[in-house]
Amino acid sequence: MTSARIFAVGGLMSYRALFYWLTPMIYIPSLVVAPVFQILLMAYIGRSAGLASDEFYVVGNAIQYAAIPCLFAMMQLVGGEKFQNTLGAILVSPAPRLPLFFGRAVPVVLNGAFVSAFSLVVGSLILDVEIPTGAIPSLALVILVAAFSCTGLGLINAALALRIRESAVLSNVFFGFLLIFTGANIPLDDLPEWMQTVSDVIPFTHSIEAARKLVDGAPTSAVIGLVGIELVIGAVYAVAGYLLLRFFENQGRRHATLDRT
Amino acid sequence: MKTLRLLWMGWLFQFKQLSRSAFDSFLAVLWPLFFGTVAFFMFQQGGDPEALVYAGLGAAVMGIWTATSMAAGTALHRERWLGTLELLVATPPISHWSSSPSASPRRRSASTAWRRRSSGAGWSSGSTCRSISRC
Repeated sequence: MTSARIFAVGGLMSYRALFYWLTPMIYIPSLVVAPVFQILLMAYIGRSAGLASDEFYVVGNAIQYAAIPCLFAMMQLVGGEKFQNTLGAILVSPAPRLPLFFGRAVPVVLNGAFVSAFSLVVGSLILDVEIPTGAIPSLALVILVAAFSCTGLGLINAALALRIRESAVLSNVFFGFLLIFTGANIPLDDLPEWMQTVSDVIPFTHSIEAARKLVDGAPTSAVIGLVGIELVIGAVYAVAGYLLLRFFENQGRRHATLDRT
Repeated sequence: MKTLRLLWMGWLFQFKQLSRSAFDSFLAVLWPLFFGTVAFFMFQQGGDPEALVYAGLGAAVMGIWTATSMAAGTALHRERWLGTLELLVATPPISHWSSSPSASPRRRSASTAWRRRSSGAGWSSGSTCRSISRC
């Protein structure tokens, strides 16, 4: 029961705390307007290059942009606490770590999914990309799984924020790599072989592929495999992130370095 | 002469300050490379070498634009966070001259406000609200 309370209340409080500074003045330009501009930028470059249709860029970039809320909010999980000098108090508490950290991840997943879905809708309307009505529930599932998967990577990001100071820089680097490697803007077949190998094991690659198939009219059953792989990737990253968090927490306690960064 | 010296010292100080931050220096170099790489692959497959040059140049120009606009836009904000804004405006010379030449490398991307706010540099435990500052 205590774990459930920590999971739900802790996660909610942490997310509300995020909004003490993530006001609409910051939220709207960063997470509502910016993804639409990224879609437009890539779509127009794509038209100029003659590589793929607008639909390709709308779907790819809308899903890939979920990386911003997922990576940065998870980084704030540690960075924000550190900034407010509450990290020490949290880490000395006897609260079980699993609900403590994963409870904070749930609102992040939902927010990431919202940003992605909103971008997809607005991008489709602006560039006149038709999304089949029947595909909308499946697309929603794919977007949710994509956000979950990236939040797993965000947990690793959060763990690294325990050790490094410039965690925002690291989040930017992750975002940049996802922009190139996930196939959001470049068809995976056109990437060098080693890059394709990397693409297979990072968030978004499979969900973007699944979403494109759905928009092209494929049935849900045709993308179940891709969604499953994305789920597994997300789970692996989440477990790795959790273990890394525990490891750096122990290291921080042992060497008294929690507040050094 | 005094003004020129102020301008030079201000520029030098701002440049040194920003170049110490990975957010302001490392990312300023890295982000045009990310965009350039994406554009490279896109145009490479399109098979138009002229367009490839155009895309490469575009990524570089985007880097310049973002670096300067972001650095200039946050010059005073940074002083506020560091708690030096009061000293700056209280000095006898025209204070904005000392912070105006801050066009050093910095990247402005999709959600700079988020990143700027998330960046730990410069406002860790000591960055509390000052009297003149609005936090």
